[in-house]
Amino acid sequence: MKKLDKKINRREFVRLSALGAGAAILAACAPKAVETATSLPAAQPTAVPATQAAAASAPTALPAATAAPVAAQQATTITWESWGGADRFTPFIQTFGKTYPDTAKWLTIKAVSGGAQDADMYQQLRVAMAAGGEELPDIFEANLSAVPEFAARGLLPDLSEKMKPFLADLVPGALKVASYKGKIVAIPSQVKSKVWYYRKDLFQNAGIDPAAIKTFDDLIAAGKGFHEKNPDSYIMNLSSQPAAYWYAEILSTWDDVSFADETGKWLVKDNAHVSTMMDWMKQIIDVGIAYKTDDWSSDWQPAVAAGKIGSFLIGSWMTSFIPQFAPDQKDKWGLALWPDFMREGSEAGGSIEGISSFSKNMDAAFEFCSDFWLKPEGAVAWWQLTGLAPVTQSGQDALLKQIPTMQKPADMKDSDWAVAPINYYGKDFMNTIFESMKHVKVFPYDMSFSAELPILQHHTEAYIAGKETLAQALEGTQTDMQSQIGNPYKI
Amino acid sequence: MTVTISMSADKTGIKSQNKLRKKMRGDSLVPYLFISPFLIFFLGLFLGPAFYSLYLSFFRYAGYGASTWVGLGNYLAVLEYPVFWTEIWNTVFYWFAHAVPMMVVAFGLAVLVNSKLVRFKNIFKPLIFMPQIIATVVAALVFQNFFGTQYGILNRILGTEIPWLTDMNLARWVIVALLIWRGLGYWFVIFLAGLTSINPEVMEAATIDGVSVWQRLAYVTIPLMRSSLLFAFVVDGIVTMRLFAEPNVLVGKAGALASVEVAPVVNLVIENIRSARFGMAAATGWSLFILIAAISWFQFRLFQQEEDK
Repeated sequence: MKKLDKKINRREFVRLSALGAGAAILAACAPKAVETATSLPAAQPTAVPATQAAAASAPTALPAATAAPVAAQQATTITWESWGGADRFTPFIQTFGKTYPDTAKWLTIKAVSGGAQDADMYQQLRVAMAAGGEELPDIFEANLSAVPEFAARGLLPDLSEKMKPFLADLVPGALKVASYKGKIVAIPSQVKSKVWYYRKDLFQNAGIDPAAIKTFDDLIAAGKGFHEKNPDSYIMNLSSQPAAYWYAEILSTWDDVSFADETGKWLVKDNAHVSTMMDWMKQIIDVGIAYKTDDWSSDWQPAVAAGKIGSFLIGSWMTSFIPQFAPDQKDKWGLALWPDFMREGSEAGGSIEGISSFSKNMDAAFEFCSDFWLKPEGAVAWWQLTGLAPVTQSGQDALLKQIPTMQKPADMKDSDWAVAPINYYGKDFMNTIFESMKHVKVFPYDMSFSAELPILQHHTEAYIAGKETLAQALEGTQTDMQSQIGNPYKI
Repeated sequence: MTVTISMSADKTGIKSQNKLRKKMRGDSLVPYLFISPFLIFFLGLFLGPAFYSLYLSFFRYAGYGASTWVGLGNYLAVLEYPVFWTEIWNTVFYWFAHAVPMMVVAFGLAVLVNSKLVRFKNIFKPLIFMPQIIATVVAALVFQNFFGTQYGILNRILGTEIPWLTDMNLARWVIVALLIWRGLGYWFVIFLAGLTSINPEVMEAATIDGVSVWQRLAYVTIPLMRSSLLFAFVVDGIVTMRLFAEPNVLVGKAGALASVEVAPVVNLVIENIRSARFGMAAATGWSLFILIAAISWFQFRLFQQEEDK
């Protein structure tokens, strides 16, 4: 009698299954090209020699957005993605509908959450690009630092033609925020200018006039005098781990700051401005004029409420936070421009609304964006919702006309109205913000800024803590950027 | 006729043998069918992506678009990056600094609660386990408020302004305290389960032989608990090597990652992913995997040597 057939060996079964499934998955999941109408680089992971790789991943021509009028009056739904939860969009969409009821009759805007933070949303966009682009939203918000990557990779089309009617009305900073290599690639929605928020009473007590501070030495002297006259307060706060936006705020002061040139040659250690930035931060902390608490730490808000922090050299977005931190300090806070020696620049430039080059509703998407951010009615409505200043001159003029006569909205509580910025700071506070927007300069972000910043932070903090000399910090920054990033203009 | 009968018998025999063979083949397949859902998910959602990430680690790849073969370039870049070694050291520190006291205290509590000395065991068990059911982020936020410099509860009680979370030399110990506080209850339960599984007759025999409490603990209880202890140290080591939430929520601000001085090595993986450097992220992840494997092997060897003794 023949022996029974051998049983399937357990180990063999698992081995064969693993090999088969692994092979299938590898074959299915190999990086593939994102197919668009433009010449995006091919994405098959073959062994590409370095020179060919450089050519393949060089920035390609941007796809031009069509200017032909599509049937924009047909019922259309567009998706709008940003971070922070889709619920955040609800008042925005409702306000858009109230401001432009005729458009709202045919245009539906659907909110899409991009995660908790901007980095999460960018990751979602990359995944959607890798999957072929079908799942990309029509519109997405992005900070300026992300524009080089997405513009170079073909996600942001050339909107120069569409934006022509609005160009003359854009404030200078807005045009910079929305541009990439001479082309307009997005609609600017926010310009983050540098604003100095200060306690008027404490500054008066110390005999300090913000406008009189011209140099770094003036700032140090003012800080010492401030603490002398107000022993329980400091002129500002800064810890040995400065917030990330400090770096862009200071570096954007100068025109000739760039971490590397487009050939991939790193320029950090020989750049005098980078060393000046590191030195300023260290001096402010060592001299003792700063209250040593980090922005957004658990001590920060109570310190503001307790009057420990006399001023903020920060971005214009801080307008809406001080009233929340210290509602009982109404009328005590004033706004000024940053000291002369670092007045120019911005905090991360600003934000844009990008229209995806994969969108099938580009005209509708552009109409929505231009209505909300480029036309005065929409810009004022946006300001009322978010406190963010209009990016157009007509929007700013319309807002200045409306502010003196603004009344409490019907659905707003009295307590909230009391600390609304126009009541908290006084009705002329927007003048300073608009003035600050004239001094906006944009840091020349490359595609790898999100990788460069942690390296810069690490060595700056080491220098502040005395663990590295200035030369070591600069050398270390450049060496690490070189080894970890390579050419920052290629991801 | 005899031939006919024997032929019939042979045919019947062959048929029943075939039936038996089919049945046995079916029986041997059934267990695999039962585990196939797990196998499919394991292969598709874990092993497959893991090998894909190994493959990616040899490329410079942004997650979309072109990828460029760099060979071992990513691994070399990771190994020559000082931040990688700082964060490895941080991670090993967190593992060692929290594992030893946590296991000692958890084991001691389990021995106490299991003994006749402690009454109201059913109250102590859930109390000790309670920190485990609090979400990691919530616990970290509570610790953040507790250890604040100017307005933290601890400094208010002590009347001091100790920079628990801003001086990184102190902040790392706060992170260790958080890890111990959260992890204690879980291992207490594991050790308690191990202790209750020890045959009470063994303990009685030891008592009758005149062994003291400490001798019983050292020479009877702990050896019998070897497998539970090995499990605890190995699993805790693996979990700690993948540490992320506690340091970043406690010390990081407004969603930013913690400073390099206290950051665990997973931060480097996250930073690489966020800056669209998937190849580097994969290389960092696989380097961490090798470290975890080495630590686990070391622990197995250590316990094996103790057992051989």
